Amino acid sequence: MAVPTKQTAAPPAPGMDLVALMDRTQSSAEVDEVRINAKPGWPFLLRCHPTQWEIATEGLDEPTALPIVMRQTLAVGCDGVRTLSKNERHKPSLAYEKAVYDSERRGFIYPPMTVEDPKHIPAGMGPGLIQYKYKCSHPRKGSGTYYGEIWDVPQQTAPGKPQRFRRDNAAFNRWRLDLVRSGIVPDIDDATFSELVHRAHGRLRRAMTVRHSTAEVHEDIVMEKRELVDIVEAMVTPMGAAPETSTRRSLSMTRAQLNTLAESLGIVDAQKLPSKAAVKAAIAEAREVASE
Amino acid sequence: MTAINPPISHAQMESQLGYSYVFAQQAILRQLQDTLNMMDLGVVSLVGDFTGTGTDTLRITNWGDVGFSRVFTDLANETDTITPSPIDVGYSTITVGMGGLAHSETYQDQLLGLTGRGVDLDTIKALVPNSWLATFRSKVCVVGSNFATAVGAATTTLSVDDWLDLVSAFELALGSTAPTVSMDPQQRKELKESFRDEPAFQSALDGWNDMARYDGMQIKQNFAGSGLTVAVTDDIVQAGGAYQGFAHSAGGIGWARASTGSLKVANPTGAMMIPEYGIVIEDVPGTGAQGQRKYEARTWTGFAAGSTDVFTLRRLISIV
Repeated sequence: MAVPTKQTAAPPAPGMDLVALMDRTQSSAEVDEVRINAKPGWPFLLRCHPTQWEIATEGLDEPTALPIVMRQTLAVGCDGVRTLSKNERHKPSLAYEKAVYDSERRGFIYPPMTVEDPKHIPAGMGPGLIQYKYKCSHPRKGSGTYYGEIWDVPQQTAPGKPQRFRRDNAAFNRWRLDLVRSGIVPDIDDATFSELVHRAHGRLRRAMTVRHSTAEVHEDIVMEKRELVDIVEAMVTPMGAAPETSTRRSLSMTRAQLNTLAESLGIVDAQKLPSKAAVKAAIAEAREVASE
Repeated sequence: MTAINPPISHAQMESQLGYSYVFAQQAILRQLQDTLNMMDLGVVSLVGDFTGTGTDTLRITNWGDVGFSRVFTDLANETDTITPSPIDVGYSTITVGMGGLAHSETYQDQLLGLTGRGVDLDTIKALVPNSWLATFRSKVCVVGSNFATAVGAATTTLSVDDWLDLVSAFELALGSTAPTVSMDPQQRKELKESFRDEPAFQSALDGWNDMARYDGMQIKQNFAGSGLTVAVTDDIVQAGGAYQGFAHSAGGIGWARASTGSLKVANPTGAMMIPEYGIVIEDVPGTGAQGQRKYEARTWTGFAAGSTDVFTLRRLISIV
């Protein structure tokens, strides 16, 4: 099915279409009059938690720790979203305000639901709303509205097949990085970074202790080593709003933790690393070792 | 009149005195459906009833720092005073939402419709509880997709490593009971393929058979010998380019209803209540004026994740 990728802003729809009338998201962009083969869904907000991070590389200059951005689906009856009473129609956001409040109480941060910078937007899509919607129909789930993100780019799909989307992770990652640089999401803290290292370490250890030596296991080890190397590199990559501070913190973390990492990777003695440049050189070496 | 030449054949007679087709005398066949009944899993707990409470929100309380979490303080001297200890209390909430479903049929269709065709308003109305179960399932999947913490990655397929991370998350949180894992059929496929590649499975025929065996059932106990139950459904939310599977122990997701037993509807003779599901189904009076009959079903239910102080909750994510 040929799906147009151009967004056209539509006026808010009436009724219980929450997002169309939402204060925070302003509106969803409606994509032309096309009905796609996909499951109906619900409108959503995007949110991230200061303790939830991952290392990403796609679309970035170097591996970087980025906040995990997840949806808060606004389905009536779920996690605090309620049906409006008869005299609340004038303010539809009342349906989910409490859900958002509960979520913020648990530490979640809500980024703006718009993108303006072309670097954050997939090719063919225009600036504006992150959330957009298609009319949809699914053979087993009925018809309704499909809600997507601007980074889910529709692909040409064979007739009768479920609509395929390509996720533009590069643009998405650049947007996430900007959330940190602009201070909307506070930079990753040491404890959270340690968690990332701990997890990657555990997976590498497991891959390396598998007794049978097969191509798959070797591939696994290489993959896990790459992940660790990415983390090491992210540790010395200044990314926050205050690069000086960020660099100092990252390097001090590097010194404290590189020993163990270096041992796992079989590369360098971290204590002898005099500068960030030396760390980077070691990383380059590690990357070569990992890809062998 | 049409001349029928000898011999009198079926080919000649059908178009004059027969039918080009009739319907076979058997039950009407239903399309393929996602029939996972989350209630069968027994892990989504009924935590309350909104009816007569005066509110649309229920609080489920929890407490800690008592019993197994609080040890005796050593007393150095036999006359030492014992300082009273604090306790922790908290709560999670469930808010009710309302859902509706309706179908209608004209009087003319009732009269002229083929006798025994199997499609009529009463038959459809009898399937309302199934629609409720499907709604229940999709709402549980929404709540699961909102869990804060995830294992796996949005950019890779699901692997044994992710599975082990998931198991570890529950094992390390002492007190957690065995989780039930809900995932998309595609996630189960990827997980089985990853298990198949495990060296241990390559030398163990039973294990390989377990992965290769056809699994049409949507609930699989003891998946890959892990002791965990896996449930597959198309209702798993897709977001951020990833399947948002989820795992939780019994009670990790709760639901509450407004029992409809005491509801006084407009047309009591044409109404049916299913109080335990919070459902009312009624024939709508007045629609006869348009030469049609309509039923409406309403339900009042709420779903929410339990407190992370009490339950271990994880999303299980992988690339779409």
